[in-house]
Amino acid sequence: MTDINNIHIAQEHTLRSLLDDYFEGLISPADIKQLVIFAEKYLSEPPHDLDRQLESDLKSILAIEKYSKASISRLESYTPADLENRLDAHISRLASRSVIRWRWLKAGSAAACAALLLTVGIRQFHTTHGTTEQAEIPTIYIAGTSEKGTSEIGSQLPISAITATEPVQAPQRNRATSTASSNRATDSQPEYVYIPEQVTNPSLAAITASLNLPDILPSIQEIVPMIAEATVNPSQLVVQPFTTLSQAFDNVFESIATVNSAIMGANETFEVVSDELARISSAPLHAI
Amino acid sequence: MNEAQFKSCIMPLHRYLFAYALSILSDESDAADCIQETMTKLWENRSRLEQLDNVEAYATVTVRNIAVSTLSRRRRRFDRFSDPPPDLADSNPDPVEAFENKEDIRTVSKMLSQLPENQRKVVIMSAVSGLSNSEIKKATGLSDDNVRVLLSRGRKKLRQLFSNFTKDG
Repeated sequence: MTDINNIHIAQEHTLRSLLDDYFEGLISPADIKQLVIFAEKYLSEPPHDLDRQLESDLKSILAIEKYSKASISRLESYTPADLENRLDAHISRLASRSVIRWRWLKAGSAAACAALLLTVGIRQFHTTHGTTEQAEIPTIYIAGTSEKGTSEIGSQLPISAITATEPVQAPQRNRATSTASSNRATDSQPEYVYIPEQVTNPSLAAITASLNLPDILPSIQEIVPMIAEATVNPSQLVVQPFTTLSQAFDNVFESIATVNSAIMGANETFEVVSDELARISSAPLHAI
Repeated sequence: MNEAQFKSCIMPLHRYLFAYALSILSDESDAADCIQETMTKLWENRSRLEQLDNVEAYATVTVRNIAVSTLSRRRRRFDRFSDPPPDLADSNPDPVEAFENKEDIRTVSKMLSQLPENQRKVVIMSAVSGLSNSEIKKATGLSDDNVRVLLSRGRKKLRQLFSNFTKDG
């Protein structure tokens, strides 16, 4: 019995606290729901010494809750007959739009693949036809220091001494070397050896085999019909920017409305002050 | 979630959602637009819906947010709350509870009609539409303090009326 009383005391304390907040306008919707649950529970098993005012308050809250449920139920009867069809069509439109978006994505990917394939194809074409013609090969200079008696040194130069199209820099270094070595061999003179070499193109088959390119032809064949089917609704393309613009205007409007409400609040305060001043001014001096 | 799944999950809620939107907006056309906008938002978040335990609650919150935003943009609609609350006693859909609830609902209707207009507005928005103080503030353009004071006065007035009614009864 004591436990039950304690539970009732705890419940009553919570209820009174929630009720105070409720009547002060400080309670959240979630707490109102909690209050309703507490009220139902409390009134279903009321304690012996139930406070009449508390009982009345709880009953009023439950009555308001019933009223709110009844209001929503009643408003359901106002549902327009065509709303279901309208929403159904709207959802279908949204779904088809997302499908179109997905198709465009696929089409874009397919176009990119096709462009890649085309590029590879063109290169392949040029390479195939280019093997019969003499390809233009950059001139390669092989610069080195050759000393008399060692004329074969040019052909024995390390690869770092070979520069393409820049025959000037390498001799500078070699010239310094030759100057330093001039004490030892005065007849040593730097020379530029021009050896045009023909670079042969590797075969395309060898390159493609070494690259190990994936076979994308089936993917392209699959995507091509999708590209053909893809349709664009021009009205949607036109409307989208306007929707964005409309949202931007809405945001601006809300900002202005906030400023407006702030000014209205100030206005109300001034009105209250004005009323008070009017009341004071109209009251007799001894009454103030 | 595909189109068919979405429709089977969300479409059965449309009547309740419409009624809820109408309770906030007080305009059938606005409420229908609100529901359509809600459907768009829900469709955009359809992948999230599958993970939710209570889709109805999520949809209700979405409707509430959109409706409050709409109301804050179109404050002229707010004036429709100035109409006295309708007598809802005969429209209770549950015949078993109808008799029990009838008197309570009728009593609350009468009491609400006795409240000053501005107090009635915020009390209905809080009690019927379940809006928080900040949402009422956004919807009405009133300040935080104004909303709180109007709610407090309205509820205290209802408490007094209900107390008198139970004493008389």
